[in-house]
Amino acid sequence: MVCFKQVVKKGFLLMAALLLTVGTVACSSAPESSQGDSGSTTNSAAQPAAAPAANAGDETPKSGGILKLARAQDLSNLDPIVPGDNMTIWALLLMYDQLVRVTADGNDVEPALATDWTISEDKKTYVFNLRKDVKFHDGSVMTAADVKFSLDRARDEGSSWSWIYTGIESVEVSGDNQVTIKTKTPYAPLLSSLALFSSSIVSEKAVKDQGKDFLSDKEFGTGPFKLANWQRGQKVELAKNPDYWQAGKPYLDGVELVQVPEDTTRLFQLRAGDIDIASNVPFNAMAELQADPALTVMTPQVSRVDVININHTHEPFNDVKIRQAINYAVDKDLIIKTVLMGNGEMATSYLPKMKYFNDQLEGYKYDLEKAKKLMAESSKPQGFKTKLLIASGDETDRQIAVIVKDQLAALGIDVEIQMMESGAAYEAVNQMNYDLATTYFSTDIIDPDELTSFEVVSTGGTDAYHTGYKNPKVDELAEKARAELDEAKRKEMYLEIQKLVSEDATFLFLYYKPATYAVQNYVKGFHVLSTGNYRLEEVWLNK
Amino acid sequence: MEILRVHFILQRLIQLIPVVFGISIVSFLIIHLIPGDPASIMLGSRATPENVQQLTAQMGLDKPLYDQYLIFLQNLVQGDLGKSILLKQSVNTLISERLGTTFFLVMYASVLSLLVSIPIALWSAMKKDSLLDNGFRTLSIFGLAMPSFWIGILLMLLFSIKIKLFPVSGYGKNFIGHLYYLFLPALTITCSLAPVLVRPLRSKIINVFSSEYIEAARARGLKEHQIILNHVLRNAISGTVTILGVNIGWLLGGSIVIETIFSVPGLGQLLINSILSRDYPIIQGLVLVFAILVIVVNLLTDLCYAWLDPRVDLE
Amino acid sequence: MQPILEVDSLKVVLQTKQRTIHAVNNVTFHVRTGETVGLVGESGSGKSITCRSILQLLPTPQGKVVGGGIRFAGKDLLSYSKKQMQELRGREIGMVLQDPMSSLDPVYRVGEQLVETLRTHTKISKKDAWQKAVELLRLVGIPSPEKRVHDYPHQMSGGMRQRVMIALAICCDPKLLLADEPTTALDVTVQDQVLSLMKEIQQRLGMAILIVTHNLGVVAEMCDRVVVLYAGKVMETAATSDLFQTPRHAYTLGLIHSVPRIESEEKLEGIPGTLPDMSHAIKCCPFRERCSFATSECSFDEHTQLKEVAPGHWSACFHHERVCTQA
Repeated sequence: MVCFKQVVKKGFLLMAALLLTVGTVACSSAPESSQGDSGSTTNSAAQPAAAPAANAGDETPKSGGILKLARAQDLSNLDPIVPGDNMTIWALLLMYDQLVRVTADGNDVEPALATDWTISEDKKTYVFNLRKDVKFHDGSVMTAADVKFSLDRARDEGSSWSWIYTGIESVEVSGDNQVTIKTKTPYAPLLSSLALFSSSIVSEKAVKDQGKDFLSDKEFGTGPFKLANWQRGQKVELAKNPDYWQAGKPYLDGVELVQVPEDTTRLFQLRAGDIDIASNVPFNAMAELQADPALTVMTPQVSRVDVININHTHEPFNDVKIRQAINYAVDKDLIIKTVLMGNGEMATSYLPKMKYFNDQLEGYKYDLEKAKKLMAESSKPQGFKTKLLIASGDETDRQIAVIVKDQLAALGIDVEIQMMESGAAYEAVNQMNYDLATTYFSTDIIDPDELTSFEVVSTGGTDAYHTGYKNPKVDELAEKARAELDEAKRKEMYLEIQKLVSEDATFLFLYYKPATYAVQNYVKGFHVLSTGNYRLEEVWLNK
Repeated sequence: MEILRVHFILQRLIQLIPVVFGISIVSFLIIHLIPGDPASIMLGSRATPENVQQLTAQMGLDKPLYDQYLIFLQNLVQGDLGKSILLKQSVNTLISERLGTTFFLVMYASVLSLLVSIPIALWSAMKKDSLLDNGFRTLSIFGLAMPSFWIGILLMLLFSIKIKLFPVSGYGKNFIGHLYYLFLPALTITCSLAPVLVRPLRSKIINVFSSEYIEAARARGLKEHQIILNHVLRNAISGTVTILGVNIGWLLGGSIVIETIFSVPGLGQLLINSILSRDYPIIQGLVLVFAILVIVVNLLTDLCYAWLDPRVDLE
Repeated sequence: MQPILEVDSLKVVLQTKQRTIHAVNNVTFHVRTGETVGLVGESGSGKSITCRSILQLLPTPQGKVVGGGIRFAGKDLLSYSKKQMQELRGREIGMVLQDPMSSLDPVYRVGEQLVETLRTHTKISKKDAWQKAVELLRLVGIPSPEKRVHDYPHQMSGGMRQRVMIALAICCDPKLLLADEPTTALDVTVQDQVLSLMKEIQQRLGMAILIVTHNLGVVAEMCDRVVVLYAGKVMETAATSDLFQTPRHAYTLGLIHSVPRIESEEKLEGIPGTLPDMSHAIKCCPFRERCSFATSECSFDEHTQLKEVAPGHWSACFHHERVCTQA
């Protein structure tokens, strides 16, 4: 009789062998002739200069085709004055236009629905001349009244973003195609805030006729694409706006924004050819994708800076030497290499790479000797215990935390890693109930005023983003810069602020990391702006 | 007999009311006690106290807790689950749009699991302790041990990429479409569910197979396959139905992971996102819906069990 | 006339990994058409196994027929294929099992189970089958059969269930009915009813009955002839009256004396000792160790063969003369 044990053993081995085989077959990727670093891979651009469109070439654009772009989340609410999530914002920017818009290099604003504007002597009055014959998606013509209506709506109580426009005193129709905006005081960020998605121009008639909730799931804009169909949880179908004011564009017949929450699934879809562009490619998948000759991996620089928040009100972080010491002790390049797979750059400033970025700052390159020296001179030369708060479920955070803990140990600092659910972690930071916490800052607005107020100005309402940092010089400069319309003068002020903040080691500066996209080679003209969105009216399919 | 059933059903449905009420209070309190609020989460790094306050007021969250609860209850009694504070859409609509999908997936997975488990259990029982039986037993252990998301991705890799048999994700447009698109997701769930069903069914079948009435049936000259299908299975299956019903809560929870991997637009995504963004009305609504689903499914399970085994007295 | 059932030198073993039991060791008997034969013995005598081997219902995989033959209406049953057996069971030969409480499928109505059996063996429409089911229930003495036919087994008493079992066994008019301890699990009052029912049906349908029992009272009431088994071997075979009046085997004598009588004030007489070891095929008289008549001859095979000691009366006892005078 066959012994039971033998049978089980045989069965087990058989199963193990089977699974191993299956696993190996499954995991071995198609052995395409790897041409090393294939073709046009745009690695993280070092300069905030114009990031050219990958695959632009000299080819003439072809019309037609539907572009399929896969993203992690669905849209929330289509009303420009409601949502705050990127997915919705970037989709809105395809369906709506604003008075002005961000330039391709992300450093300035350029005309959009406004053709030109003049600023008064006292710097408080802006007169905008509007483009003629711009049509809403129903064919009706956009008028100055629509502009006034839209902006008043955005400033109003019912808007989630009214606080952005507190600098505006009034918006008036001043002519057939003219709008005049008056600010309470000279307000430099005005133009940038008019480029925001919340400043989108909607049709007054449509909203008045259909009620204020009408725009939650329908759109009424002038943008290059109109909303064809929104299958919640699945995809958003956009159709070309044939009357778009930029003649000849968009080239595409339509766009499908497909919602695919799982990173891996998005990649599978791309490789299977089901989609044309996959957003948010995980860093560890990039090498594999780069080896695929049919795909291009893009790492466009976006306005985002990752830091570790330091709570200055918790001892000993009130001591600048300690803050500097920990900045020197953490090897940011190592983090970029291991966590971001080399895609990123050490952060030197509290500002991401954007307008008035101070590229002359040295930052805190890894220097353990210096760090130790600073520690020895500090209030706690022997080291101390502290906690690092990260959001659970975030793999990147966790990896960073482990490295930081390890490296700070060299200074005698014992770091306890605390994990909390993201909402709870967020709350803890807001209540200043932390020692160290991983954070990032990003912006939709190209003007550094907003970020500066939030991050480093003690009177900006957030206690310098809950660090408790207070530098009266910084506060003063920020105030002045907000009112200074002269670009050169303004630049000086922001450069100075950044220098001061860097010296004060307000944060533990980590890195600037790019966005990651994987694109089929036949997609041309795809370009991601530093604000994170993309102008799909420029895209065409070469097939 | 039938009158008893109706009475039983009514009784259980009436019991639903206090349960739903209790759940609504508990979930309301718990959700609001969790640190983090939707306004500051939405505003992100722009969350100054003034902005947060303004947005909070807009969301109607500045009222005292019991006021908020009363409003919620008022709406609930009228069958209205409220309005999402972030999406500004009726929670009823949001949930009903996706409920069908999740339900379809869960049902599909259950049916598939039964279709897989019954033959395996039968085969294993008939060929007790053979290589086949032990092979299935080992396979079961693997199925139970491997995390479902890994199974899902593995299946996706095998059957959507390597061999292009099934689509990578999505839901499909009509019934046949759903069956096609949801096959891999349902199969993933089946890999974890079938082992749970097979073991007890196999035992029960072995048990039933040696009982007197089966021998009597054979002595009457009934055909063997007739005996196995009509008598053995029929007697053994009631336990399986119960197990399935009891596991419905687990199934609903597990479907969230599967929905994420396969991009199925069901309740799972809605739940995760609403928790992360603290969209209270949606969370409340979903908790209630899940609770009611579980209770109703348990009721159906009891009824099914009674139908399968006439000896069971429902009272 | 040829007997309807002939069991000839039947040998059955029960084989497990640990040991082998020779449960039936050279059993020979026959049943004639219309006759009732009782297969009597204590537990372990092999009577149930003998009965089951007729329909190839031995426990698998332990039970095996290793010798002898079984013939039904002249056909060799041991050579029957599975399919032939399936057609035979319930149709030509019916069987009633011991425990009515667990012999009916609990999830089907009584009528459904009757209809199922009828439609398996005969070409009959559903409607007609249901009608026949009602008739069968009436035949076995169940009141209000039109209502009862829709009952589930758990809604019936033990006695009623046994009647249903009988109905199931005879629904296709079998020529032979095997009854394995049909009344053992029933109350005394109900026992009587069931037995008379069986007799009545036998007369109606003209079928033979082989009844397996350890109860001599049942034998006395029901059987025309008796076969006494002990430790897998036939001890004695005779007409019922002959067996009771002139038993010709020491074991039979012991059995008869051990039946309690209400009138008598004697102490209960049991048979001391237990069954012998049946892991080998016993060659001599298996009862000798417990027997008060036993002598050295009883250890020999040639002296303990079954032989006709009186007309129609067979015994395997060496001392049958002495036993007879002691009765």
